Amino acid sequence: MNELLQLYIPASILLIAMGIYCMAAKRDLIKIVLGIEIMTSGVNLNLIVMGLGSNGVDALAQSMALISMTIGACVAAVALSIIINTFRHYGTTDVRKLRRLRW
Amino acid sequence: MVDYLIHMTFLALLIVLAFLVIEIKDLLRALAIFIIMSSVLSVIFYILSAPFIAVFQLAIYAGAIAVLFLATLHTTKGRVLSEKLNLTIGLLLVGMLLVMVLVFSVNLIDAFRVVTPPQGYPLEEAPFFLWTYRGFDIIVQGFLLLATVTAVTAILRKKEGVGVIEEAVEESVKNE
Repeated sequence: MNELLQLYIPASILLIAMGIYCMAAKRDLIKIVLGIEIMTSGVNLNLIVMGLGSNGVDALAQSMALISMTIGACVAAVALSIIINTFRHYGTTDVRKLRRLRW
Repeated sequence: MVDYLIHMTFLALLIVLAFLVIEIKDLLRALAIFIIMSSVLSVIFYILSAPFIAVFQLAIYAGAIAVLFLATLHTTKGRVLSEKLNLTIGLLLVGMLLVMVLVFSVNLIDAFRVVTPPQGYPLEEAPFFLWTYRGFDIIVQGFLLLATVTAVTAILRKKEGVGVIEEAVEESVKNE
């Protein structure tokens, strides 16, 4: 069990770090939302691995992962609708070109 | 040892695919790889004895969110799938489905018994179990989904007339 924890926890931390990097370094709004989803996947993996026991994964951990997935889907839906709205007004999804204050 | 190697292989694949999603510039390709990455994560959940989470991961991330991304991509970039790319994505999806079928077909029914109510629990009392022990989760998720639908509707509603800022600018121009 400990071997698996040693394998999975660094991997999930790496996924979260990759998501944060994507959000910080990329300029396309869609790519940034993809980064958020990668980060959420890392968090879900961490939740499941931390609930791992000899008889499978703890039900509470699974429940929390399920709620996290729902929140991830909701965040993606709202973020993508904001992207579409932004595109309607600015004609681009590049964050560097969204500096104008006029809406 | 073999189990450990399987876990390690899938994790390595997951990390490589996540890296590709971030670094590939063509968003459509990045999205296709994101779908495969979600499927690999689903397989990992399955081999970690969390089959329900695996199914939800597959349905929500590889299904619903991917469709939302695809719709946004087509709206904002106006991209249409080319014949060649279409074939590549099709082959990738077929390969992914084959892997899923191979993995999920092993002890499917036994695996789904892991998180079901304890043995001997009468099936007709399942709704009671669901609403007693998991009621809070379900209510929270219902509120979340409702809030999301409201938010998306509010964001994407059709705006009529000019905004407050435009009105202020027009007034200032008239005054001058």
